[in-house]
Amino acid sequence: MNRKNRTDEFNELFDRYYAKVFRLCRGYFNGNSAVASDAAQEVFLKVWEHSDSFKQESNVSTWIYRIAVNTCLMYLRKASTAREIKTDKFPDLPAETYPAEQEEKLKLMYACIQKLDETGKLIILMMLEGVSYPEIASVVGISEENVRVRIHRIKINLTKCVQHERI
Amino acid sequence: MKEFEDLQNLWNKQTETDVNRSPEEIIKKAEITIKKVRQKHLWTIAVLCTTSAILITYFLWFSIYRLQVFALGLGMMAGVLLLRSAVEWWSHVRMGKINSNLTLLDYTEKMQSFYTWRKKIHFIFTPIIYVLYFSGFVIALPELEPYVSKGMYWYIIISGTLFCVGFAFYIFREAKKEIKTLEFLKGVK
Repeated sequence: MNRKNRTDEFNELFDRYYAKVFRLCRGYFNGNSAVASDAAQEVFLKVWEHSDSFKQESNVSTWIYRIAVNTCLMYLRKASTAREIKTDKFPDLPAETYPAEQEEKLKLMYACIQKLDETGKLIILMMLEGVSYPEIASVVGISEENVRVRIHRIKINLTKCVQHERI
Repeated sequence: MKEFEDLQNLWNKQTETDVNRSPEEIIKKAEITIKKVRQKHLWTIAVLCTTSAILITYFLWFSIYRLQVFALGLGMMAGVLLLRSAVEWWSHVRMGKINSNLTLLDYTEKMQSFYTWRKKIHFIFTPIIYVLYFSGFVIALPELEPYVSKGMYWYIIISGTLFCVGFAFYIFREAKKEIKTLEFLKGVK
């Protein structure tokens, strides 16, 4: 693949998936936009680096989500990042973007997501981003049936948590 | 907020986007990173080769002057440091080979196996390296005494000991961090 084609393809992937990956990372990092931005950038650095080796074994969306979830998972292990997330329990979301009540609920939702186990967090974030169940199964490496069961449980727990503000 | 659908709607209403990033900027950064990684690899190989060459030269030099014991001690110290550096370099290469587009569970398993291997290095290999390094130091030191001033001799003892302690502290901190990562990975199911 020549450089122009590779760049065009990358630009297309960036336009289609960057915002989704950024939101997934922000959800994973308790609403911390700065960390999410760095992690999303790292995801796309990997996408560019490995774009030559990407074969049409799975679809491109699965490929990107796999890189995204694995990057988010290990990103937290960097000591400085972990400290930043820990101290940033209730992120400051831009007030001009969301009405106050919505902002509060969103903060609460982020905090409730943090209560889930690592795989649960990533599964529900992909679900919220509209990733299909078979694709989530293919990203995580579990059966579709297992995804359904886990999502069902997470939905109940998450709704309860936000409803009763139990964080 | 009664149903999960409300949460989904709330999620969908998020409009904040990351305007700081552009594909051009990411491509540029990726190419700089790739270049840096290649340079780092070349430097590591160069440092390892140079250290080996210095080691061989030392052995030949001190053998000529009948300071075999000193050469042995120094050789042990330099040799184990070289070996430790080589292990670190190999770890870096091994980590880089873990494909980040595996499924989450496969990726976690590979990472887990990598950190288990690192744990063995920290608990088995590193203490052996330390004992050998310190033995080399103890062997070489008396041989060196007649050839250096009293002040220099004490300087070598103090700086050598401080290096040993400082390096041990650094390795201990890194090992603790990696073991914590391993425990975290074991919890991903």
